[in-house]
Amino acid sequence: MPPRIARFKRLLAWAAAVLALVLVFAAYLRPAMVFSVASQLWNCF
Amino acid sequence: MTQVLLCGAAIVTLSMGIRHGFGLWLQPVTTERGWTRETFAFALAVQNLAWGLAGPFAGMLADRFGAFRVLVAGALLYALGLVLMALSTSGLAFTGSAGLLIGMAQSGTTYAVIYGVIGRHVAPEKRSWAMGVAAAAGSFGQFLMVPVENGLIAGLGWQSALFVLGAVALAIVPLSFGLREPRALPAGSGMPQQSVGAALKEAFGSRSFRLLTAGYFVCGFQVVFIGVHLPSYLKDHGLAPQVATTALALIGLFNVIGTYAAGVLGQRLAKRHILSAIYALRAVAITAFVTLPLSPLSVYVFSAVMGVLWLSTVPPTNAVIAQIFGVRFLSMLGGFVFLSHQLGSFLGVWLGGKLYDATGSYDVVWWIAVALGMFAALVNQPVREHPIARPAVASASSAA
Repeated sequence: MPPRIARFKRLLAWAAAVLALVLVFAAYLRPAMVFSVASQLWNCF
Repeated sequence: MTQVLLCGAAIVTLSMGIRHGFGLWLQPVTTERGWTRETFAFALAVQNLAWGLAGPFAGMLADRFGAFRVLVAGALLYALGLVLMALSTSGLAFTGSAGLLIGMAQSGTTYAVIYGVIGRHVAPEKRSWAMGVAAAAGSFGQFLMVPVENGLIAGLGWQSALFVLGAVALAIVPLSFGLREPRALPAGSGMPQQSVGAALKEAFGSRSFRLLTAGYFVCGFQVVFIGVHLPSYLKDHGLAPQVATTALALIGLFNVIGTYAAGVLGQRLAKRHILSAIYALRAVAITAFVTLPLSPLSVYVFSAVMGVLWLSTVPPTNAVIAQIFGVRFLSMLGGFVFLSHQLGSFLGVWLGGKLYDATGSYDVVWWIAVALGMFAALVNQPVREHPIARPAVASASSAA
């Protein structure tokens, strides 16, 4: 595989990984999620 | 190699992810069944112990008969455990399904079994990186599945959510085909023709193996103590509930980064130095957290730092075992080291609660975690990473 294509594929994989992490992190910060998880956590103690 | 890595990473994402959000079921299950929280917590404690205790046996079977069969059996147990967890109407049945079955399923579908295959398929110069990729996938699974499971419970109800997860666990079966190995040792593989007993005697006779096992105990203690008791600690100090949710999200996010980075670093640096650094930094981070004034910002910084150090011990610990003892019995030996991790986890949860009840605060346990961190940083230093010397006869027969 030519180095330029290999580099592009690697860049694409990294971009996909970062996007996935950002999206999941954003899911945690949705108000409904924050409220739900926080109330469940607090109710445990 | 790519196939093994992709399938292995996907399996660990599912197996580590599914069970990570089990705490979300505490409230709906106990409310509907009329159980105490102790019933639920006991089942999860049994799950952690079963995961640890079954690990060496699952590893032994994977090394002997191939990971494929163990993974398929693990996936079926996982799905069965989740379905029975939804249908259990007594505490005993819940402990058997959510505790025993799922704990055993995890031992057959998580790191030790996957690392054995990765170890045998990936060249030594890329092994630590590959283990870092698989560990990061497991960390991502944990990070991903909490919001997914929260959405499933909200949208479908807690029972249907468990049925869906049971179906998701079955996806491990087709993925396992990507990890099929020849049953016999390949000729000229360079792997020793040792018996299980001889491999165990060799490992437990090795000071380095015992030191790694001791260090991993500390990892389990610290991670599970913080994971379980941090929200309670924050509540005691008057912080808002949302702070705990954000803290968990930050731990999850930085855990993915930390596990991958530890695998990459393991290719370049001595793994004992990486492990010592991780444990020492944990001790420093905990000391700073409990001595500096507590605020949302200090919680977020602590969570990010601990996230980086969370499961980052997994790739270097397993990679160094492969480096010393080879990959023939890597799953079994990884299972024994992980048993120590789970005993530490159990003690971390239990002692956290016990000492809180006795003293009215978590201070003593935090300082125990600091002392254990320094202990683990020290015991990893004398680990000798070069391959263990074996009698010439064994080497000759393996080369034949």
